[in-house]
Amino acid sequence: MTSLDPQSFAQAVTNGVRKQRKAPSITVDAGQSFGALGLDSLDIMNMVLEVESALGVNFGEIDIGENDTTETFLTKANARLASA
Amino acid sequence: MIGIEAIGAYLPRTCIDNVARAAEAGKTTEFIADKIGFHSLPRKAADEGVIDLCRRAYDDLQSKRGFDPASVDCLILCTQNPDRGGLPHNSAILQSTLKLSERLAAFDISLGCSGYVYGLSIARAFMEANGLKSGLLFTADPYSKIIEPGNWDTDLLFGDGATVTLLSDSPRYNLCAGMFNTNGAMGHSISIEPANGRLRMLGANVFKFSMIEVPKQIATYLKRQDLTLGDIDLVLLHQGSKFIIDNLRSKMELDAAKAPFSASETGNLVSSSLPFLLMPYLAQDVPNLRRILLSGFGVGLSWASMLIEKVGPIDDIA
Repeated sequence: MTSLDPQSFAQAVTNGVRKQRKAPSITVDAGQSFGALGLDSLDIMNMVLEVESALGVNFGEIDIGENDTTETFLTKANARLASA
Repeated sequence: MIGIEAIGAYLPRTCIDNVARAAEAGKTTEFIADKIGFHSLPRKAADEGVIDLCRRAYDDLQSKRGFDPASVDCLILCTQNPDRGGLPHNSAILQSTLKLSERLAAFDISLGCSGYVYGLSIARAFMEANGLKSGLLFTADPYSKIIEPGNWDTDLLFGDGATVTLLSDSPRYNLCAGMFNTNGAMGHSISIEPANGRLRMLGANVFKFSMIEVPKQIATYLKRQDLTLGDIDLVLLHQGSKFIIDNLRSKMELDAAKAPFSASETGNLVSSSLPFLLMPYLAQDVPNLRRILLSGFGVGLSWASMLIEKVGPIDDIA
């Protein structure tokens, strides 16, 4: 796999954020930072695992923080998969 | 068969209040208290070393379970932060400090959070192979020696302490064969920064490793032992953080009574984490604890699991 489908990725991120926030109706804009969505650094670690599991991929070592967004996460994830 | 008879421990009285420095660390008090879970961290005095910590743990063991020091014929120390750069090996210094017999085998082992499980297995094999009857397995890894103050990836996590486990041929818990795994390619996830000699930890790597490899190893191990988690009375997981324990519990469908988090006042004690967690169960002689699963994971990356089984009859609750 060389790049992820953006829509599937965004849905996986949204589901991951909802699970961490325990808020099933929360909406996630692609440019919204995870910190602004109420996720702390530990929540984000869990969310990344959720996304990997949902998409059946392994990003390996990936550094996603509170300032990252769905868009920057996708960029980093694609870069990781391309280098794997 | 060589197994566990008793455990002694020592924690320095001086503690850092983690919750009080939440703002300084750029965290909320809830994040510290409820997620990291380490409210305070014991810190050794500047002039206290591994030998001092171990001596105090030994005193605690002696006070709980008096035994003849002359009977000890094996002494093993697990540390990665030894006094005097590890030369001479600190177990030899301990033999002298504790005034133990010269008819004693002594050696150090270098492992982190998986060290207690390794140490038990090594001790049992070494003692049985050489006809030794009474051993002491020390753990002491004072990470305050290598933590960079203000590096919040590590400064909020680790406490100083030491334990000593008395191993003998008349144990209260027998040691089963363990299971051991290593992934050195990810060793940089918990390592020493060459430039400054300080601890560096990549939290996301460690968390991911813990969530994936630990449940997998435990499942594989229990299958090999022809057991399920339902057959285990207590699951003692290395106390890396409350967040790690909470998530491992969730993944393995365990409740807090079966897989406790009990490190809020100790922090992550590295190789002392598991024996410190196990100690009260031995001291209280809790009924119905036939099988206890120990799982240590961290530096290496290294992860290890082992069952210990109570010797003698179990008091069943009807």
